Amino acid sequence: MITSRQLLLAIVLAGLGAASWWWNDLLPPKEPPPTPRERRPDYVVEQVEATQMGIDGQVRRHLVTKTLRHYPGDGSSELDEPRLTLYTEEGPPWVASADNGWVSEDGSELRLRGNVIIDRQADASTHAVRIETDALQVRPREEYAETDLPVRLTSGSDWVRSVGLRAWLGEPLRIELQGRTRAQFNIVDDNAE
Amino acid sequence: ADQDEPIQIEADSVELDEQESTSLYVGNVIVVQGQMSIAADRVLVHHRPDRRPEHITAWGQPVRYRQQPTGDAKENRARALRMEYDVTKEQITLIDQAELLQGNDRFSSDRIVYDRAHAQVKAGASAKGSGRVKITIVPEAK
Repeated sequence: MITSRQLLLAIVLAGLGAASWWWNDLLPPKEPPPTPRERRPDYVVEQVEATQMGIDGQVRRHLVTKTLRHYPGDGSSELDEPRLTLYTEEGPPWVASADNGWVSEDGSELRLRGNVIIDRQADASTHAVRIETDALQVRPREEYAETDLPVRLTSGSDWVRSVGLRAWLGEPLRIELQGRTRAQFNIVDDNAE
Repeated sequence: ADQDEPIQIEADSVELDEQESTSLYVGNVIVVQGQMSIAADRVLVHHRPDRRPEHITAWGQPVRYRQQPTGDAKENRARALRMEYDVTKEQITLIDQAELLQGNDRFSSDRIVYDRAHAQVKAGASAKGSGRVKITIVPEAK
C-alpha cells in the first residue's frame, strides 16, 4: 500500500524533473566551442645559419635552413629545407637534410620530413653510410635518430632495407631495424664487377 | 662462381653493430648466396673491416642448408642445430645432430665439415669422441 508520504515524494520528484526540463529549454543555445587560434609565427628568418658549441668549445651542431618560422605558443620552429651537421663525440660527422623540419624550443628534438637523407662520411676506420626515409626524429644531444617508416641504408654497394629504425649515431654506430629486413653484402670488389 | 655472389639475408629484425663488426638477424632468417640457401632462427654475421661477411653462424631447430645442383653436381641438403659458414674458406661446419645428404648419400654425425667449393665432406669426426659417424652411400643405378 503506498503511504501518503511516498505519494507526496513521488509528486515532488516528478515536478522537479519537469521544471528542470522546462529550465533547460529556456537556456540560450550553447555557443560553438572557440575555434583554435590559427598558429601564427611571431618571427620569420630567411637563410638561417646556426652553430651550437659544446662546453668544450667544440662545434657540436651546425644548422642551415632556407626559412625558419618561430611560434610563440610552444617556442618551436618550423624549418624549410633544413640541413643539420651533427658532430659526434668520435667518428666523422653526420649530415641530415630534408624538405622540411620542426625543432623544439630547446633544440633537444628535431623532426625531419620529406626526402630525409642522413649521411656519414667515411674516414680511415669507418665506411660512408647513408640512411634514407620519409620522416626521421633526431635527438641531436643524444646522437640518436629513429623512424617507424620504411628505411634504406646503403654503404658502398651493400644495402639494407627495413621498416622502422633506431640508430645510435655516435662512434661506434649501432642500428636496430625492427621490421622485416633484407640486407645484401657483396663478396667481390665493387670495381671488380 | 656461386661463392662470389652477393650474400642476401632476410629476417624479422636486425641489429648492426659497428663496434663488434657484426650484424645479427633474428626470426625467420633466410641467407642466400647464388644457389645456396640457409634457413635458420638466428644468424650472426662477422664482417671484415671492409664490411664483407667473413663468418656466418646460424642457429635453428634445425638450421637447413640447401645447395641447388649446377651442371652435373648433385643437390646437397644438410641440417644441424648450428652451422658455421667460413665465407673465405667456403667451408660449412654442421654441428649437433648434423646430417648431410648428397644426392642419395647420407652422412650423419655430431660434426660434419663440408667443403662447398668442391662439394666434398672433409671430416665427419664426432665432437663427443664417440667416433660414431654414419655414412650411407647408395651406388648409382647402372
